[in-house]
Amino acid sequence: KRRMEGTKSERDQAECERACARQAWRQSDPGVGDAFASSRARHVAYLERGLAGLGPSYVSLDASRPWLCYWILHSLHFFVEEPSALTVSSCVETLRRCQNGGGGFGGGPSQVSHCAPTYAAVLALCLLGGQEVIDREALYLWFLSVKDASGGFRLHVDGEVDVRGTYTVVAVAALLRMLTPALTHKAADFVLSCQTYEGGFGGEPGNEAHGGYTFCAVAALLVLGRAKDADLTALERWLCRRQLAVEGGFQGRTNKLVDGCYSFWQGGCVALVEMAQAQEEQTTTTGAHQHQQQRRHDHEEEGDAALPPPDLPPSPSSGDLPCDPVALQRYILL
Amino acid sequence: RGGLSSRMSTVDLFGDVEGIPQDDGPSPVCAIAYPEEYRSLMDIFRAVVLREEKSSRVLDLTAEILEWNAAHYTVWYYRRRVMEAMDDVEIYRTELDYAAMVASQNPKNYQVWYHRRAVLEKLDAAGDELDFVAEMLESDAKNYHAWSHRLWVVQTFGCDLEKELAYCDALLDDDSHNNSAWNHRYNVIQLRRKGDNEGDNEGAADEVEYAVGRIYGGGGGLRNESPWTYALAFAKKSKAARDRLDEVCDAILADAPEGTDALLEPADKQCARMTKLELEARADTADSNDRAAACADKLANEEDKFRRRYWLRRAHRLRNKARHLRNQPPLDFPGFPDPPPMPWAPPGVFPFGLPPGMTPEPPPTYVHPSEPPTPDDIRDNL
Repeated sequence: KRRMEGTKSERDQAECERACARQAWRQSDPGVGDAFASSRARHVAYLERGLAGLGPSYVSLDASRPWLCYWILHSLHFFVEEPSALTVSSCVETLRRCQNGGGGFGGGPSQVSHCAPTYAAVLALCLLGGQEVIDREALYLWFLSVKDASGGFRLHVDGEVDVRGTYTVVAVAALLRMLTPALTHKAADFVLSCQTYEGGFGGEPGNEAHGGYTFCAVAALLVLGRAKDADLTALERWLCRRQLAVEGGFQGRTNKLVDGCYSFWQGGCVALVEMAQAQEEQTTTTGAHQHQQQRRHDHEEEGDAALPPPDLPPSPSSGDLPCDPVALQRYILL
Repeated sequence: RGGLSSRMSTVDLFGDVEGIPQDDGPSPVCAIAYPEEYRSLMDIFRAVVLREEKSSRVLDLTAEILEWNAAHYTVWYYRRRVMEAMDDVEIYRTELDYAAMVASQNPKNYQVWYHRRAVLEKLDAAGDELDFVAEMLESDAKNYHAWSHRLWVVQTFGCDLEKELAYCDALLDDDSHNNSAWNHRYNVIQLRRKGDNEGDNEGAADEVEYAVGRIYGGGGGLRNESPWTYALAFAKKSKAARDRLDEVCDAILADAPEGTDALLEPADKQCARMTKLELEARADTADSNDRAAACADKLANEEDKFRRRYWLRRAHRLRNKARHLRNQPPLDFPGFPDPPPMPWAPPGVFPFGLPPGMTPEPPPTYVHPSEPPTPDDIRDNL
């Protein structure tokens, strides 16, 4: 048909669809035996090898070692693999050396603090039970130092401002019981201003709706209790349209190709939107009063008193999601 | 390599400096097997930072390290501190050339784009920045950082907005599916309207017409979501815009698209149906919500079957809105339909257990196709 012609976007899309259709066909062939059988043992071995050490090509991730740690530990957690006591202490010691005296964590020892490795390091330490390593007081002061006039946060001192900064900071601050009005001041407003006419969120106001930033935005809004102030109808429609029929996976933006990472950013966000809708219902039943309280907190300039932890609805099961979780599973395993 | 010293002599340049090894602890996890050169350079860098040296040889050092790892944000950060200390406007000017080289090798790197912003802020002038971004977009017309930077330049330094619209237009001529170009056009139109003191919405109908032109422009226009979402945004802003979009939807849904006798498939009506749904939902009367729900049913059952779960629940919610407007109580959502039956998969493929409906053995009736299904086959059989 006319699939062979068309714009570059259409040609790329057609090629991706053919590749996915072919792989799905191969995997459902009874004749291939165990050729495509992924095995838990192989995944776990891969992860443990990563923890033990990485090759020279990983030099390009030298500023992301807490991430490597977190991704591996989090994955092992899902495989219900308890790390040994030795692994736990090695991880904790490695992460400790990424922490800076002025608060926050860098991507490695002697690297300046950055919101992303801070998020990764804190979550990894929580998984390991090593959270006493975290210098909470210094971290709080460092968070204040990257607070931007827009309400968002810079990713590091003299660094870029985008919704990743807002999410990583408010998530960590909430987890460590140090989310204060000083931190939340205008934060939700900044995030809300990143929702585009398409319904998703961009990295900065006006930027194209994108899966990674949308996850950060919606998660941040949930923590801040302000998800109901987004246009959830437009968001939900945009999200569900991003899952593609032939591939089963999610694209990150309209008219771009699917990618495995968006299984998390977009697919995960579908679950977050369910929670946001439930949070909206909670407000309706308990009254606009609490919502007003929340907004007042957000606008107080001063205030170092920690806010109560966010009231999050339970996360939905995959059977309760408006996207197609089974098609997504199949895509992930292609 | 931007006229910088060669690799070997950078280490020699710092012969007077004793490197500081990385303090990774006795048993680090995720330790990277650093190439020896990188390790030496980083040892020197740590020493340089400790003694707070901010000289021109440190610029060479940082450039060297960034060639190994352009994402080393600490090194970018320190490079800027050195530039600040040297306080020479020429250094900032040549920095744009340096950053251009790094960006062309690492177009998806965050740090180099932020570095450009920092340099431009110091220079307080946009220079040839829009040309630079256009060059980057030639290699990848959807580069997110490039578009974000372009928007920042336009907002910070201003520009000829008509030229900017013409630029988007040219990109859309190349590829009408370039959603980034549509998004940028939206921003430029908003900026242009800010220039008018009135909140005049006359431009909104023009923008709908522009999008309609791309929808009918040939090829896969009807199925291209970008112009539809764009038009829907402007349909909010004036009655004329809304009415025109409504008219276009109705024509396509009645199998009478303008200016063409093409026979339409259900997939061709998908976007028009979605758009009609939103227009009816926005009208927010009892009847319009019911009509919107009918659109959702069509999408669920015929035109966008893959997303039937979403459309069925949307239909349900729209009907409840209609009921609310008629002072009737809402109905409970009956739940999502069961997933469609799937081919089989050996147990190992799904390490956490097979999804519902899938069997570990092929059913007796299963015949494995001799060729992979085409994407259209898959779409037709959803």
